[in-house]
Amino acid sequence: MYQEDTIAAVATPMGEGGVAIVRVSGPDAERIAREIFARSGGRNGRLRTHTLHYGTICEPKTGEVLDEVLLTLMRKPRSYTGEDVVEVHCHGGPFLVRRILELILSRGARHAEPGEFTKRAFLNGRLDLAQAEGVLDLIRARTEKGMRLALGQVRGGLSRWIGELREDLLEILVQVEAAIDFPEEEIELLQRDQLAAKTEALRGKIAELIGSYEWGRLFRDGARVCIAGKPNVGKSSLLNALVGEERVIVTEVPGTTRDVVEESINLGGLPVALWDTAGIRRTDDQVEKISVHFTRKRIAEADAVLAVLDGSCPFSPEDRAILESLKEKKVLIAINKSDLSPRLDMRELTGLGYKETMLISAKEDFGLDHLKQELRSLLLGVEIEPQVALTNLRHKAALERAQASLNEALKTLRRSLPPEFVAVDLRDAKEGLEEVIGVISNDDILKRIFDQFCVGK
Amino acid sequence: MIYNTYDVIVVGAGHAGIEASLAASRMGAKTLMLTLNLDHIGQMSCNPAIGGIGKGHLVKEIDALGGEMARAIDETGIQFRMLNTKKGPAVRASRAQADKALYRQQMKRVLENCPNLALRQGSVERLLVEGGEAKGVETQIGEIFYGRRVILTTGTFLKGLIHVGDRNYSAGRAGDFAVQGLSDSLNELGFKVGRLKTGTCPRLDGRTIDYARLQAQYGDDPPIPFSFSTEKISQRQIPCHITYTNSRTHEIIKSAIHRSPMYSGIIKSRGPRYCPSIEDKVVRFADKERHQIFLEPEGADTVEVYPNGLSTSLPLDVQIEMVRSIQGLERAEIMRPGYAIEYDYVEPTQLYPSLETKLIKGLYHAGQINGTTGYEEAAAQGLMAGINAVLSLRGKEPTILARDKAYIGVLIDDLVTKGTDGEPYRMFTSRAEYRLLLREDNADLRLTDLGYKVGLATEEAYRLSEDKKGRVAGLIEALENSRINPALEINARLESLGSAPLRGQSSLAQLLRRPEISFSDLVLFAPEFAGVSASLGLQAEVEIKYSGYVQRQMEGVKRFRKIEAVRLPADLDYMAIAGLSHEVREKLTLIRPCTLGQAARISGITPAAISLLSVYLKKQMVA
Repeated sequence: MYQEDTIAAVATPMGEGGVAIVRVSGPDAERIAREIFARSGGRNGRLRTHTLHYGTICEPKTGEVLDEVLLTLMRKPRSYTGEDVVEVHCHGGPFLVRRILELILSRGARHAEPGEFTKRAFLNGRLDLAQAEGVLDLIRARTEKGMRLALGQVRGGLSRWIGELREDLLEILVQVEAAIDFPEEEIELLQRDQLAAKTEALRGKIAELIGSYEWGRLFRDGARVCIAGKPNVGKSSLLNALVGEERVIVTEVPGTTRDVVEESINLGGLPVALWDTAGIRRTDDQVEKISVHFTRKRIAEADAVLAVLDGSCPFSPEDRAILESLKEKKVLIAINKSDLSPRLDMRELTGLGYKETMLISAKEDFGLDHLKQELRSLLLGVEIEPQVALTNLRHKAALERAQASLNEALKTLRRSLPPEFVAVDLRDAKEGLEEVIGVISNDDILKRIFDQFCVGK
Repeated sequence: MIYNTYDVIVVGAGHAGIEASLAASRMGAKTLMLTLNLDHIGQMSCNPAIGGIGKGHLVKEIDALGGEMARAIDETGIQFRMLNTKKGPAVRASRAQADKALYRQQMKRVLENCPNLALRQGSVERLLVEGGEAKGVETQIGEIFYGRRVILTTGTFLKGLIHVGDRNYSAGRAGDFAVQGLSDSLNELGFKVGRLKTGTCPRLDGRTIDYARLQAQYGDDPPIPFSFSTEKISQRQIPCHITYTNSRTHEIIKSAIHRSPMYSGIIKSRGPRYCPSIEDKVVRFADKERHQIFLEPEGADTVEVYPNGLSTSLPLDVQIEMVRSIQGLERAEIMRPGYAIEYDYVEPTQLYPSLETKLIKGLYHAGQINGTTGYEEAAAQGLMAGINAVLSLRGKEPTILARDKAYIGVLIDDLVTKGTDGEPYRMFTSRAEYRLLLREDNADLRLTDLGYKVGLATEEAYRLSEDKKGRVAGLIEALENSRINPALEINARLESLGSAPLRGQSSLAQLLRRPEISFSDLVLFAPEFAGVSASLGLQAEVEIKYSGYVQRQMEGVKRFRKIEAVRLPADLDYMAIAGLSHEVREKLTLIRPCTLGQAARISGITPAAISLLSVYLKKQMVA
């Protein structure tokens, strides 16, 4: 009988570290482990599963000892991939780790492709689709909060929630289907308006979940904030002040133009990329050009704009041009240099429709904490943490399909069309929900009807 | 001892056996029908009725394909009722009470008058197989019949065991012998044989029922026939009556529940949940105060009455006490006790969609042997097995009805793909994904051409259905093009129909899109359509009124056909496809789906596995 081949890879990041883990998965994992691993005390025999074994890794041909390690065997199906898995916890030098991996590969394993362990976990039914996608998010998570969201998804938070929505939907569908297939039975079914109310409630829950996508996406991918303002208003010093100790990762984003400096900060768990548009110089005849430039490129991409004005100067046409180009965006106005005597006429701002402004001083580190708070709530909207957040565009699209189908179902109910037409819409909605978790089953409805109602004359 | 050689041997003369025998012989194959008792051909072992929701759909499809069931019930029906009339056309369904004796006689007459068809009495105990191919059958007295194709339609007869209370005895149904050897023979050939349970009601003496105290239920007037070829129902129509169990009935049942073989543990196999015994209903739905009982006459010339809803296997003394606790039945005499029956069936995942077994070439299974229940489900399978047995004799591709084409297609696909899941399988409309398209009213338009092509449906039926297709299209066009103006009298008529007045010119089709306006109402506005037949009008109405929904189902059908069109080679080595889990590989190897679509419907096959399979197939094609 054909068996899946055995794969191996280093599971920890490459580079020097205290400990590294080499993971092996597949039918030959245990055999390979027994060939290269000598338990301390020279005991042979069967390795106990789900136990840490202490010993050495040896080159079987030469007997050379490579490292002292801890090794675990997790027999299928109780392992990450659902196959036999062996993990070797060795010392973390890159050269050593590579030699151990090469040894394992030389005994018949194949180097795993990126994501292949997770793929196997999914294919073997250890993870559903949403969970598997969560694993990838988890690996890519950039802040603790993002990690927790992803972890929630891996542990089935989203799947469970979708499962609950599906339960709600089936409850409605059972009523509709029972009315169609068992009209002669004396069973009590919900009336049209009760069905509509339940459908409406379900639609609300789905809408809420769709609404959490924006939230989830920001935590997963990070928010992009563009610092805009004319030169010398203190953008760069604001950037530096904001980054300060909050600096987490400095990324070189390919394709960013050289005139944009990007820094990343952690805003209470929310990863934020700050873009400073330094380097753009304007000349009198280029005001418009600058505004176009801002609008078209960076600002269009940003989730929010931090507009910086110099409080010690009067409001200028450049300021006006910049602010006017921000009409469609989430904007936070920071009036910098508030340590100097104020010369900015606030009425100019209210005239443009900006009522909320913040006085700060990047130089004196004044008002920055407040600014961060405001920026965070501006990005996230009202700070009520959703129970489950969508972080994946595919999930969002499937839920939007479910939502649209429920809208149709409500229309069908209101038009007083017979139940089989309502069922068409509800079944579409069900498919939408199932697309997220990858369940396909048609028998549930009949099973439920029989459990719920006394049918069969 | 060689007596005869046939093209097709059909074992069994129930509803599956009848359709299989007629289809095979009508298609020109030399056919033998073997039955335990020639007096019991077409026996209705349980309730005296044909049709119902989902089932009526099957009967109409059998008729369109050239089967017999619809014509037989039209000939012998004593009450016809259209169900779900308040709902849309797709889920309206026909049901009729049959005169059981007349139905049997009618079927026997049709069989005896069929050329190419021999009828013989005998109990088949063994299947003859050579080199993996069916060669014939042997009866209990050693008589051998050779046949190139064998169709088994054994109903509840394989090791049938009847239970009444703690007593049980071997029987195929009350009054008939069981067949002992055949399921062993199948087992030895390697088939997975399982056990199912079903049950029936006691039969009451109508002379001891107090009808004056009961509510009568009359059929439709005029009765609407099943068959597209029947002009008029001529049997005298008889009403049914309705009564109810009460708290005393439930007390009697509850206090005797330990004496029911289902609850005492004597019967271990599972019965159908949609056809529960009265003791099941009382136990599982304890808060229900009463259960409806339909008193159905078993025929015009008999006093026997079938109390539908009282299926039971309680001991006879409890049955009597229970029956007499019910209003109108206080003096009722039981003529035949109710009982439960256990029987062997053969797991239908061992079949191809043609109903041929994967294990033995030339062997077909149809009806309850495949784990179904219901006369209509059995007849539908019998018909398809008969058709496919003959097609294969002629070296032709089998006729396989897709799920978007017919309820018969849904039925067979479910059986061979998902199996029975330990419970007898019954048709429901909710099993059909494309329910709006699979209506009783368009069964002729969907299937007559197919029936004609295989040689079953008559030339006339074919011509009529083709003609109807053209006329439907013409009528729709005419309705789109006929315009009416918002005249005072028109708006007054609309108001009387509970519909909003017109504000501007409108086409009749637009008017028909209003939920409250039916085709027959249109005649009020456009008398030129008065001559159009109701069935034609209904077709146009459905297509116009529900076009949005029909369109959406058609979209679904398109997606379905795309994945259904990807054929999986019969010799595909699933064990060699990297990435598939062990469980998935084993399931695919066991079921051997014919198409990617069928593979996706196997329970436990994940969408991811289907993507992998489809990628694998594409790679194979390139290579």
